[in-house]
Amino acid sequence: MRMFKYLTLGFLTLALAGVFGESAMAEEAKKAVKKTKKKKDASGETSGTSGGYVPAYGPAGCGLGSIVMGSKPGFMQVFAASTNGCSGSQTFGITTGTSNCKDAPSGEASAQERKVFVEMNYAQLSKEASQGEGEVLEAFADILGCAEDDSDLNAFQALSQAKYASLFNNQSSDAVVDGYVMAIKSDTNLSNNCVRLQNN
Amino acid sequence: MQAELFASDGSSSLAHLTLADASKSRADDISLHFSPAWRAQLFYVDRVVRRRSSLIDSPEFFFAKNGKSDLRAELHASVDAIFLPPNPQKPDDHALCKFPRRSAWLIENLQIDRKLIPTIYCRELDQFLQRQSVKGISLVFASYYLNNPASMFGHTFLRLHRGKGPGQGEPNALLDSAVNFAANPTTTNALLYSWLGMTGGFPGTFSLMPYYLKVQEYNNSESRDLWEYPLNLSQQQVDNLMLTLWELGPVQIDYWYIDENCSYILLVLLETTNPGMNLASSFNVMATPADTVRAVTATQQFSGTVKYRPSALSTYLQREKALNSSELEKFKQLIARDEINIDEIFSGIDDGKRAQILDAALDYIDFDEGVAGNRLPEIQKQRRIDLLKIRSNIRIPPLPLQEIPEKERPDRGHWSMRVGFSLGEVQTKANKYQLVDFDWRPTLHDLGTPSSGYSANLQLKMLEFKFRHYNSSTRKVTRLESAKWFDVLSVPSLGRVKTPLAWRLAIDSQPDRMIDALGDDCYRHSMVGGAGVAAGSSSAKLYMISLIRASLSCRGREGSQVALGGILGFLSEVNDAMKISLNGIWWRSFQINDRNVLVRWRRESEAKFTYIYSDSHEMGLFVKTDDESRSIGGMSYGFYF
Repeated sequence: MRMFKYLTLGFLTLALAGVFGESAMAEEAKKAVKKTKKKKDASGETSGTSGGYVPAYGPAGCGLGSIVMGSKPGFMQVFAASTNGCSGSQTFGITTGTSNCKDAPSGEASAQERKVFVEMNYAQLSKEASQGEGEVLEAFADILGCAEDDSDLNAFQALSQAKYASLFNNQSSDAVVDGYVMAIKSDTNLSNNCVRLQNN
Repeated sequence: MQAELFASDGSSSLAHLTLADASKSRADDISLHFSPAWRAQLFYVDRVVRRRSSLIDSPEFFFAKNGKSDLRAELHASVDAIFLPPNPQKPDDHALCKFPRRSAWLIENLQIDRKLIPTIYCRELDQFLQRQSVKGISLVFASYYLNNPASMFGHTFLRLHRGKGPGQGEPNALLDSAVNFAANPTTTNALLYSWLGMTGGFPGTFSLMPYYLKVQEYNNSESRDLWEYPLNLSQQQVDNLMLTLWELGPVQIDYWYIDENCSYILLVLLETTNPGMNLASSFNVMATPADTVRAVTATQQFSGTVKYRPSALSTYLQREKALNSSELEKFKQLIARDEINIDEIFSGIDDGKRAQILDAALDYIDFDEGVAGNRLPEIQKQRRIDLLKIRSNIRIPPLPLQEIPEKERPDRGHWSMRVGFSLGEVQTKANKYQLVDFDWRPTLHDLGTPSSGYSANLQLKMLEFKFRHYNSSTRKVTRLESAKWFDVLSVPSLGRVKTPLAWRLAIDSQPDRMIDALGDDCYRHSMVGGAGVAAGSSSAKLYMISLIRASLSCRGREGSQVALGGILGFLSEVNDAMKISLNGIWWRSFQINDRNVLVRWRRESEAKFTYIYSDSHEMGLFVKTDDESRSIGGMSYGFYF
């Protein structure tokens, strides 16, 4: 009988842990939902897949990627997380992998990959561009094919900083990508060396 | 391609059956289904909670109806599937494409002639492997998250490296992929949710995503440090893991409260690369994420190096630390929420210092407002834009960040589960007793214990039970001395800019009467909460928290109590192995007794010295007194495992 009482109490404790975390995550939830909506409008795609056995990974490939935000977090997810001893709930977002597909022949796939990358890293990318270096900026150089050697990378980082004001003037990721493509094409050095921009 | 598909499909289906039968009887002759490699591939486990079956709950993962629990039946059905002719419309659905690892392993171990089975080009599998082209794997730990109790245990996932090891030409890490295992809640009904969460009702699935997304989520959105542990795996083992991931793809694993959490499942997954590893089997009941990291670093599979990715908070604190007091003043002006004149603030300061102050201010805003991904700050949005513009005109790179805070490495921490044993003496008004204590706690960390591998600011204890045996010349009693259902104490120190709250939340049950009082063994259940401040560093920290406590005893309304009070504590980590903890608690309680309210003062003070060696053994000395002239002293031994 007493045992039962303790079990109940233990259960309540866990529930309480959940409630406690809820307020902290409520705001996150609102933002995640907002983001989802925005995303859908922007890409006009749903999580398409090539069928077969692939779905859980999404298309796991190029060009088909769209970003699907996780379900609304809050008490529910927090509770699941606490009862599982780790917070694995995908409160930030699940994306079908559009990276790692730079060898894909289709120019569309790499354009999509650039857009998704900038969208998902906008805040850090803008900061590092203004500082003139950083890992996110390097990754972006890599996606554009401007990181084949150190001098290309340095030139790309210098260009990001020098043209920061115009590149990041507009807060849409499309504008950032377009601005970069233009800036690189008008740079004699980089336009020759950024290998992934040459065929589109 | 169509032609290639049917290249070897000339024989009748009867012949296929006979060929399959021959292979099956060969498998039975060598008892292949008992092979550890076969068990590992099927995620077959034998544990206390779930005996002898596969962790996978999707029937599609098995060819045999009873494949989840019958290794032999599954092996036979898989052999049958390999010999089947493919569906010309959907060649990718064939066993050779859907279960490439299982098939290859069976073909090899049963010495099946490749000419006798269909030749299929698995287009989707091929694309999957090409796009990933993984060369190495790291186990990644996302650290304890102070702001959210649900994340206090941390989390683990895998990073799939496109490049092998650091060095020249290493591809950018952020463009690698991450593999995550997590539950997918299927209901929004709170009651149903709680029930399903406890009983394994939520399907967990694997997901694959760019690593930069995980870095944004943990480092920036939640401000948690990331620790990467590269694993020593051969290319063959890495390839096998990728094939296993492909096989797992859409399968579901029901989430269980205690054992089948994300970290445990990852261990089982890693074990498929080397069935002799015995990683997961050491976790019979519970696996906290940090425990699984410790288990992996204890094996040959750990490469020995660790990579650290500082959270937004850690980055900001480093930048702030580098500022002297006049620079800090400028910094405070930059982040102030009213109109500022940046030129005026920066007048007379050289570019190098300007860059340093700007970087600190930007990192502060990003941490403060959880800036991550495409989420920009709400309050300081324009300020951030202005600061970035000014920063872009200074062509000086940010100061490099510090390497690894070795002390906080999660693999250096003690294991999660603790059993303790102590001997001591208690002196009451009337009596003197010898004490023998036994205590047990599944998780996680007490602030009195040296903080290596944990946060020096956080105590998190769940389900801590202490049994005590009293022995005097006249009495011998054993009773449950305390049950701490949940006990969090967070004491982050005041920063130079931020003033984080110290707080406490605890629920416990204790005997309502002193040991001298004879009679029923009535228990009092209390809930304590409070907030305060802390100051100092881990080598000497002082904290002060005001508390409120509501409690009920088994006597119902009689004996229910509300109390107001406070705790004053001091913590000092002499070195990585020794810690001193002192605290005093004051209570003013209001209790209903015979329809009157009884007001009482109560004081307790406690001193503890703890010495921990290795990740398992802890010795302690403790003294405790209260104003009912009880004093207890003794020594303790704790074992973590």
